[in-house]
This record gives sequence, C-alpha cells and structure tokens, in this order.
Amino acid sequence: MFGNLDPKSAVPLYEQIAVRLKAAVATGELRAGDSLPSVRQLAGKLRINPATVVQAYRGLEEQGFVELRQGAGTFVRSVGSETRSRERVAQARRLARQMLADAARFGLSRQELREAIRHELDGGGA
Amino acid sequence: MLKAVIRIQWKACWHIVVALALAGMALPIVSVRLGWRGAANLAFYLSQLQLWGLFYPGLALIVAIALATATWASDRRGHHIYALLLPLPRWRYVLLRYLAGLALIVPIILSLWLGTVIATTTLNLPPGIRVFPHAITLKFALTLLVLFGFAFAAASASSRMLGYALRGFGLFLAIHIGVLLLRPGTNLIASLVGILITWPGPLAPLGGRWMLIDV
Amino acid sequence: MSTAIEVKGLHYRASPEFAIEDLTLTVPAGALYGFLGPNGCGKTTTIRLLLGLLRRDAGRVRLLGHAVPEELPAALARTGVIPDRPHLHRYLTIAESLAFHRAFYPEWDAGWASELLGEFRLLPHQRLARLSKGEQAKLMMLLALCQRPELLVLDEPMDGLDPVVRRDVLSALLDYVSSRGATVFVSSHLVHELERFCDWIGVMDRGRLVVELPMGDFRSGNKRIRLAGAAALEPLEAPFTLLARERDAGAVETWVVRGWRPEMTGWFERDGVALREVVDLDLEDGFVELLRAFRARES
Repeated sequence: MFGNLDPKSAVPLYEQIAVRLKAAVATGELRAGDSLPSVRQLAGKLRINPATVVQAYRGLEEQGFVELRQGAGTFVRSVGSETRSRERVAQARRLARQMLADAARFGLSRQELREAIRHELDGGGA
Repeated sequence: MLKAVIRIQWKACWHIVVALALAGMALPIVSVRLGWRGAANLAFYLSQLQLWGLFYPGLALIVAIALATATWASDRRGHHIYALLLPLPRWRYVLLRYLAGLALIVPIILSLWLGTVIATTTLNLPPGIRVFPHAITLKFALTLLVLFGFAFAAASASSRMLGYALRGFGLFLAIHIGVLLLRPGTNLIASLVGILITWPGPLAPLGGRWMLIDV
Repeated sequence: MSTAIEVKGLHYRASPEFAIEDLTLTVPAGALYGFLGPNGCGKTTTIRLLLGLLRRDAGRVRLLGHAVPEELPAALARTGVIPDRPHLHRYLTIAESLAFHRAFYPEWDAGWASELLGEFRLLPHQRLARLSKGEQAKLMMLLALCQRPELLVLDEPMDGLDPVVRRDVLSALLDYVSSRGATVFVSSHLVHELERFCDWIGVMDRGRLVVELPMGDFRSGNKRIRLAGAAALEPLEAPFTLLARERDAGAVETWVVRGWRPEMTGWFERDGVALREVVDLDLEDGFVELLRAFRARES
C-alpha cells in the first residue's frame, strides 16, 4: 500500500500516506474496524519521521476516515458510500491534475492530451 | 563494571596469564631440582641458586610488560575512542583497567607460591639449611606490583606523554655525560639506580638477594 | 529542557589548512537533525568536539544540558554514539561485546537487544573481527539503541552499506525514536539518506555552518523557477535570494531561489517577463545549489 513513497515529490510525505490510505478505504481494500499500523511500526517500516505518520493519521481523523482509540491504536471508521465515491472522484481528479501539469511542462496542447487519452481508453496499440 | 573489565581483559590476556603462571610454578621447582647433588656440594649449589634467583625479577619484568601491553592493545587499536565514549571519567576507566590487571596477576603469584612450596617441601635438605617460600613469593609479588605499575603507565600513556618521558630521559643522559666529562668519577646513573633500588626507593623490592634456600 | 545540543562560537584548528570557525548549532530536543556536508567539510571533527574527543580552542558545547567536557560522563550516560569508524573491541564475540557494553548502561534493554540480534541476523558467538561492514554497522546501532539514550549522535552510520542493511539499521533507529522520542543528530554527505526522516537540517562546508533550519522551510523555500524574457531582469531588490541563474534554450531562463513564498509571483509581473513554472527543488538539488552559492560568496 505504501510502495513508492517519493520523498523528493512536492507532495509532502504525510499527504502521500494519507492519500494512499484514503484510496484504500475508497476501493474497499480497508474496511471499517480494520486497524492501521502503529506509528512506531509504520515509521520503522517506511524509514520516515514518526511525526510524519502522526500528521497523516491526524489528518485522516479530522476528515472522518479513521479514529484514534486511546491506547488501542488507529482504526478505520465506517465510511458512507457517498464519501467513498467522493474520494474516488477526488483520486481521479488528482491524477488528471498531475497529467495536465506534466503536459504543460512538455508543451502539449489539451487537444493532443484529449486524443491521447481517448486512444488509450480505446485499447491503445500503436 | 570491574567484573566486565576483568572479563574482557581475561579474554585478551588469558594465554599470557596461563603461560606465565606455568612458568612461575616451574621456576622454583626447576631451579631447586637442577643442581641438587646431595648435601656434599652445598656451597656450590647455593651459589648456583643465587644465579637462578635472577630469573625471579626477570619473570616479574616479563609478566609486567606482557600484561600491560596486552591490556591496552585493543583500546590502542581503536584509538581509545570506545573507552572515551563510555560514561565514566577517564581516570576511573584507567583505574578499572589497572585493577583488572592486578586481578590477572594474582593467579601468577599464587602459582609461583605453589611452585616454591612444592619445590621446598619435596627436597630432603640437611639441617641448618632454611627455606623461604613465602618470603620470596612476597618479594616477587611486590616487585611485580611495582614493575606492573611502571609498565601500565607506559602502555597507557599517550604518545605525547611518552615523548615527554623520552625527552626527559634524553636530557638526563646528556647531563650524565656532561658531568662524566667534567668530573670523572661522578656517576649520576649509578647513584640514581642506587636511590631507586634501596629502601624507600620504588624499586627496592628488586634489590637484595633472591634466595629460596639459604643457610 | 528544549535544546539537546547547543554549540556556540566553536573554534578548532585541526591543521594549518583546516579549521572549524565560529560554529554555532542548535539541535532542538526531539529533533531528527540531519548534519549535511561534503566529505572533508568538518562534520566528523565537529562531532568529535561535541563528544569531547577533541579539545576545542574556543566556544562552548552543551549536550543535554551538560557542559562538555566538564560534565562529559553525565552527558555520555544519556547519549548513544556511532563514531565514524569501528571502535569496538575486535577480539570479543558479539555476546561478550554486549555483556561488556551493558555493564556501563543501567538502562540497557536486554529484551530488545536479543530481539534485534535476531532481526539483524547477528550470531552471538561471532567474533567482531570476522564481521562484515554491514554486520558491524548493525551491531553498533544495536549497542547505541539498547542503552536507551535520550540523544543519538551518529557519524555517517549508513556510509558504504548495502540497501538491505541500510534499511534494517534505519528501521531500528526510527522504531526506537517513535517509541522513545529521542533526539537524533545524524551526519551524512548523502542527502537522499536523510530527506525521508529528518525534520531539521544543518549544512556545513569548509569548517563553517552554511545554514540551519527546519526541513519543511528548507524544502518549501527552495524553488526552481523558469522565466521567459527575463534576460534584462536584475534581482538586486528581489524579496528572495537568487542562488543560481542559467540560460536555457531561447529566451527562457532557470533561476534557483531561496526563501520563496507563493505571493512573490507578483514581483515578476512586469514588462515581457513570463513566469513559466515554479518547481520545488528536492533536497539534493537544494543542497548542491546552496553549497555552490556559499562557495561563490566565500571566494
């Protein structure tokens, strides 16, 4: 779930972690009641600052995705289908925004991009 | 802490300790046995024993140098960094190392003492001849203590301190030669050695005779 | 206490050619402080001065509130250290080495030590002289962590290690930090080693401190911006610091700037200048540009 975290990215690490967890909730990979790894486990495993994990978890708690239970750990809350689909939309938009930014860097026009997307959706091929 | 230091020091020095303890036990036995031809040649036998007596301070010197060097070898290889990072004042670490060194000397002394006892009790001596196993062991122990102190200080000294000591010694030699040239007959080294090895000089235990058996 | 390491006006002449000059460092308690600098810039010398292994010429050093070198033993009792080269007794086995070490640290965590031995795949009867570089590094980390220090001073702890060992060592360190909240002062000449977890960095070059600031500020303030038609622009009165300026193809230029804030885009709104792009500099690039600017200023 946490593969390919990119410390060089402009997106801060805590946000990268939060996005992945939200995606996992949205797709149903994580279900209500599932526990998240402890701060200690995750910081050790990802070799990142524990404060980064805490920040990610706290953000998720504020947005209602998880709850911190004193002494027990962090658990996924039951998330309504509406929130889930909203999160899926947000994910898709994030990807699109990223693509647009890259396209701008390469000087591609929107038309070119649109055609490329249509081409890929239609099954790709040369 | 002392136990921990003794343990690693034993690991570094045990072969030296065992070898020298065996030598310490063998020395009195061999020296006493070798020249024994019965009571007839007693005078010659005792003069031979007196020569053998030189081996006691010799053994003490070897023990002192070997143990002191082995004690500091590993610290020296690591530029003393490990020792300097331990949470205790430097003098305490040196003291621990010194005490551990003394602890390792004990088995050597004991085994020499055992050797002297065996040597003197298994010999059928004529009346009038006396044996000194405890006295010679005590003399050996005191000598060893003093020599180990010197060797330990030299081995633990930084190269800067050793440099100072060497320069001091060089200066002394130069003065000695100068005095010798100006006033022949005044021997500074001889008088210095005299002061050191006669009581209360620090090397006093070295002086005198080393006789396990005497009249 | 809020400062784990405090260095003020430190001077040390190592040789006629090299000296630490007027070095001031402040490592907040609880920080994961990355001490960066190219090889030979004085990081190891500084660390030795911190730990009382060298005697400074001037200045003052406090470790966890204890004056160095006067109260060194008290400071070292609460500090775990990995020096720049192996320093342990090579003739001992791992088990003997652990037994020796723990005698000096009453807080020693024996349970975790045996757990870590397993995780690091270290065998208790192995002699230290026979250990590979990676195994030695793991052992040094184990010893430093299991004494349960409040401060860890690590001099290039991952230098020359393969990725697997690096991961093991770092995981153990961060595991400890998250459960204990210790301060870490870790030096490296490799930026990417530190950018994952450090929240403060200090950069050193040629015996002097170049910059010291929270990682977040360093990252967000360093940008690469691309401009078109800016050839005549002089950044003298700019609200940011220009570190480097390069001409790309055509009329496009790339500037590397420090101290950038989003509202500064307005500064470029003038005749013919178009701000094409503002990109975050990653730590490595930021570090290189910073050193380049520092050296240009020095010489």
